[in-house]
Amino acid sequence: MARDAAAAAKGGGGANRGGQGAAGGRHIDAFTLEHMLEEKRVACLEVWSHYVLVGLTDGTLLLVSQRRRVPSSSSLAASDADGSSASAGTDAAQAAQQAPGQPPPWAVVQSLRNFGKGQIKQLQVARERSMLLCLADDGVNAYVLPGLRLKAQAGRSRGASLFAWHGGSDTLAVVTKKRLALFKYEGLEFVFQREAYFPDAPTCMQLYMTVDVATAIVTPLFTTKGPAASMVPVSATEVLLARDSSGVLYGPEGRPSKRGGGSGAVDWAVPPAVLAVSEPYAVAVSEAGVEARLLQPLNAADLWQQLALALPAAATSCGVAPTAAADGSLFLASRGTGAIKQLRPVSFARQAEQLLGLGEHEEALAMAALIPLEQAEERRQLEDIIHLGYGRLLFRQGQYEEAMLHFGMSGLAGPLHLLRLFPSLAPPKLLAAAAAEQAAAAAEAAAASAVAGEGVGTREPSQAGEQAAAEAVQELEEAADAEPQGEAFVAAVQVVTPYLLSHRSRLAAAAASPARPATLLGGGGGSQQHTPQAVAGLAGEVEVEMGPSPSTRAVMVQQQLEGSATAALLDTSLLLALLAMPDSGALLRFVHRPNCVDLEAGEAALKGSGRYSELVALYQTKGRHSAALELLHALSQSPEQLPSPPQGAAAELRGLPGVWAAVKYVCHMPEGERDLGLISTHAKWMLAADPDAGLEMFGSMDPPLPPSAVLPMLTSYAPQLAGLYLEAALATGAADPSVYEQELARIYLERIARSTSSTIGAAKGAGAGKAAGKPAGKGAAKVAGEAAEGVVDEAAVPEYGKLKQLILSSCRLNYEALLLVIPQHRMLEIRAALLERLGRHTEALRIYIHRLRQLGAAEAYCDRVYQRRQQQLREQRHAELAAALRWQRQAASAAAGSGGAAPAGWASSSIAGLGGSSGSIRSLQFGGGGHSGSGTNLHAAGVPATKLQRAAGSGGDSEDGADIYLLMVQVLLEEEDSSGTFHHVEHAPDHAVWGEVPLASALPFLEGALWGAGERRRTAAVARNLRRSEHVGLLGELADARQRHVLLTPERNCSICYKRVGSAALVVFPTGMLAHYSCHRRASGAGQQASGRASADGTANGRVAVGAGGGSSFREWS
Amino acid sequence: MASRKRTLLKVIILGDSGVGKTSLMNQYVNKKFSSQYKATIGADFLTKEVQVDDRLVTMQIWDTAGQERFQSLGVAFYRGADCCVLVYDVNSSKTFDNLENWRDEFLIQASPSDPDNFPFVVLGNKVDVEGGKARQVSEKKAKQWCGAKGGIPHFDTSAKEDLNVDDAFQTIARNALKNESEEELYIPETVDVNAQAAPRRAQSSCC
Repeated sequence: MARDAAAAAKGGGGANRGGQGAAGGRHIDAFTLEHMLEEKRVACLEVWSHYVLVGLTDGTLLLVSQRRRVPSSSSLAASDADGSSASAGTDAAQAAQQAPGQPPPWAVVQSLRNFGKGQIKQLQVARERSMLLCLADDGVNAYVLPGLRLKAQAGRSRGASLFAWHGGSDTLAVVTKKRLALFKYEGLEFVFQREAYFPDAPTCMQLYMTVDVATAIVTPLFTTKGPAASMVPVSATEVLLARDSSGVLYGPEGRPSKRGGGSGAVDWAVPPAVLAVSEPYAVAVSEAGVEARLLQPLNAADLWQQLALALPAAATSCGVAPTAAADGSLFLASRGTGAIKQLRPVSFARQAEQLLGLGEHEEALAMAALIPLEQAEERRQLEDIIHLGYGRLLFRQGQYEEAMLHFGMSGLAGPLHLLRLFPSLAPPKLLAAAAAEQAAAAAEAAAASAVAGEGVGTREPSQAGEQAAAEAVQELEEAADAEPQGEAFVAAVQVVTPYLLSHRSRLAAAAASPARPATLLGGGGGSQQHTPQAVAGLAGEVEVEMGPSPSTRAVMVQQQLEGSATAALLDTSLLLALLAMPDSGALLRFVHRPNCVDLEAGEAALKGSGRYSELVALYQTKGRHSAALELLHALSQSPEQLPSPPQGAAAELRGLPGVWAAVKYVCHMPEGERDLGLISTHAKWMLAADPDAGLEMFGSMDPPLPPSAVLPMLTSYAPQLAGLYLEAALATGAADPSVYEQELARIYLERIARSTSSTIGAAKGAGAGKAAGKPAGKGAAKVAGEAAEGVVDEAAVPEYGKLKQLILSSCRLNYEALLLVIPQHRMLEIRAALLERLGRHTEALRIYIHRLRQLGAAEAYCDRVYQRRQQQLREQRHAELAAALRWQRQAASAAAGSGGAAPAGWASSSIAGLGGSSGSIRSLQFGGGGHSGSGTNLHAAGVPATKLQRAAGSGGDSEDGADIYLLMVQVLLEEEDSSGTFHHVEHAPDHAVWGEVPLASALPFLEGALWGAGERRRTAAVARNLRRSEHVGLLGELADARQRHVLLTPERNCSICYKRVGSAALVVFPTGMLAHYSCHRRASGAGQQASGRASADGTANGRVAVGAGGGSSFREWS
Repeated sequence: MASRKRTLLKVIILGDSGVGKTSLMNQYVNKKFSSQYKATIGADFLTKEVQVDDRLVTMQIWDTAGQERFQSLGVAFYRGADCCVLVYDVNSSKTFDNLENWRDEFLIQASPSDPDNFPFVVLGNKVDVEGGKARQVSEKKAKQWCGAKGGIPHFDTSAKEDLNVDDAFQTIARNALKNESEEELYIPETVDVNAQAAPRRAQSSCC
């Protein structure tokens, strides 16, 4: 501080406005006034460590403490320097004598006579230097602490009346009458710096002045009308000055402080005589007593306290220790009566409680923030209580958002606390159950602690639960009146909903954590920086291991929460809250997800508001499929019969949308919860309302319903869809073809029979009309005639073609059975197809040729049969080859096992032998000679002829590989078509079948393949050249055919202008007539005159004429 | 009675799933980090007291689910927010590209009174991954985007390494406080020592 202030104050009776003038702010018990001792000779006080130093008028220094010690020397014990190591033995003895909870009494522990010469006028501890500065008649002396040995003396300070010490600059200011002397302490002595003079003796002035320690310039500040000028340092850079009935804070440079952003002023009820500071309070001592006020408001409200000193009226001259003790205590003494009193501060926690009781929650929180760190747990508990109370207060005041913020910050504010504010959101039954559950869990935990020796006297969990339930219901009833209504209710619900959701998240997190019971954590608050769940697992998450996906974890959590009353309460409340808010779709999404909503309460609420879509979703999550489908039925078919008009998404479900909603519902029904009876019941109205939707339902189920369950429904309610369903089921593999292809054929037959019978009936009607003499066309008569034969309408029925195709393509049908049920003279193509599959070709062809008279169909029939036979032969051949190879491998393996080796080349010969057996198949022999592997009975191998199997010991020696490629060549040649390309070979060997095959063994195959390719290329080249020469020859013949002679004589005229042609360019028409070229051009409109004797023109009938005059002959080409 | 000081700040953290929103919040509040990814279900909040200049404020930090399937109720959390924190993963361009959507959704749902000046803070998280070699979104690109949006503060952070987390949240708190209306307090530059003393309670006669 560049400037230090020294002021004196004395006399001057200021205006006393009466003791109870502190109208602003709230009264608080910030201090207690306690009597220390009486000493008539008291002159001044100071505090150091746990001592109060009392300077007496006779120069004696008393050391007063609550810790009694044995005086052993004239100095303070060194161990007392930090005030922490007083004699443990004496302290213990003293503590044993005093009442429990009461501080020990103050007592003089040491008396130092003649400490100062004459009267000790002022004491001050220079903490930075561990010195005690003492002003006595002989001047200002400095003593070393704790030894109290004289260390230095300020010169020319004898007779001084005041001094001031500034530790930051080691500056000592001493006032002697009107003179101010400034000293600098330099470690060993006070060095005089400079001096200044006041206009009057400072002890008599009511004027504040600043003195620049660098220049000694004195600047007046202001005067005070109070009883005395007084000042006290507040911090290293601030002082509090008494000005009239105010306290003004001054900072560096002698300017008013802007501490706290305020005016830096404290207003007292009475002009103070003496000031002191014990943060956060400034204390003024006046005749009226002691008044404490906040140096700056903690928040908004001012806090104050007035204490009567209970001193005689004459005792106005009080001395106050300039500094506060470590615990904030202030000490003051009445020089008149000699009474020394302690102003002991009330703990911040108790003050915060007082403020909470006064309803000053903000101040209470601010006060709680001053609680020392070592009492953090006490602070946290207190803040939880304050936040909870403040939240309730703000809620009642309609400040919902602020209220919820405070609820969120309170560790005590569980969901029950929130919901008690909203009776509309908390069904009493659920609230009571949740309260009972939490109380029982708490009691259980307490009982467990008691068993572990941590506590006693716990209640039975059941008793605790019952009591808690009763209390919860009672609180709910009491809160019903305070619940906001109308728009305020909606606004409040919008605010509370996120908090309810966050509580649900925490509940889920607790459920996912096996270490913590969910019921207990339901009441966890939001101040998670302190709460255990925040440490054990972050709230708001479901802390599960990495394994399951989020959706799986959600299901797991849901399973954990089932049966939890708290979860039921929360979810039901959320439903009601979302119901109260404007519809944004959130409610539907909420009930679509797994939830613990109480079905009874949710059902009633949703029904009452017409939110049937949400109710369907709720039914779905609860497994109440019957109720859901009934509701969807009603929504789709008879919404007017519902108790409330449908609202929201449900309003759009009338008619077909409702049918499709029901279809979707059934499709999403879990497999384990499918009830065939239920589905059958509702399939009836769905199929009736929209057959396509019904069909979609059975086709979209995953996994699908078995056809045995679906077909009866379709047959009963929508027989026309049975075939379509079965087709789709067979195509998707949902139906077993071996069973249901026959069923499909039967359905087709029924459909055809039903369709044709109706057509025949109609045709018979037409025939009857004709017989009655009505005119009928030729076509109608034909139709009627054909219908009578049962031919015409069958093919028009879609099932007719489908049945035919099914018969031709399927190999699982019972053709005989079908043939028996087909009428003898109808469905001839079907009959022919059945006969074809039965191999009764003659009968089938007879139908095509003689009855249907479809020769083309008969030809196609023959082709089909032939191709089918070829295919069978091919498959048989491949199977035989595979069997041969397998047998050979087995033989080779056996030979290798017996030490022998299969003779090279016999494999190919054996295959060749096979080829020969088939007759029509070419066989090639590569590699090995003509050694014949006789005795190879392929069929004896007993190999199934349908699929190649991996041969045992296929990983044999490298020689085995050749046979594979030989087989490939054989098979490929068989598959080679007329264009020389290969088709895909169904039984081609692959790695899985044959194992590792050396590439070298492919050489014979590659040689053959290359040779064949080269041959084909040479053949193609020869053919190409032959074609080219033929083309050239033809061109020559064409030219010769077109060549002819035209004789031009001078008499020949132009056929256009009838003038002689002469030697002009001419054209010859196919008729032999001639014309001038120019005339021809003109006549044809070309307008282009040719020049020269020869010209080319493509317009003259495609001819080119070359003219040569004078009886020349022309050759013309076309 | 003077107007009450604002001491509670509501902060919303938004961003794609897996960018580290919960980790950032947990690191800031609880000084803990877990490398296990656990998708947040729903939303929840943590609170922390923070000193901003000479004010002690309490931040209520709402962590929302990034996965779309859990976002259906997210809008309920946006109301009354004082600041919105947009988080992306610097190793995933997609998460950065989606910041625009998150910002727009917030402004639509929260409907702040002054959308142009609503305080956002962008955090590019996971800068520690592979020592930055896996980075796909450069700081320059991110800052360009932030600049185009009105100068949104941007921080490269690592919840794992506790890099820039405190600084980022300090800025978040500061910006959230800036958004509040200025308190109308009379702050005299000097005190007229010659004037008649006027008790402060006389100025606040409403109390």
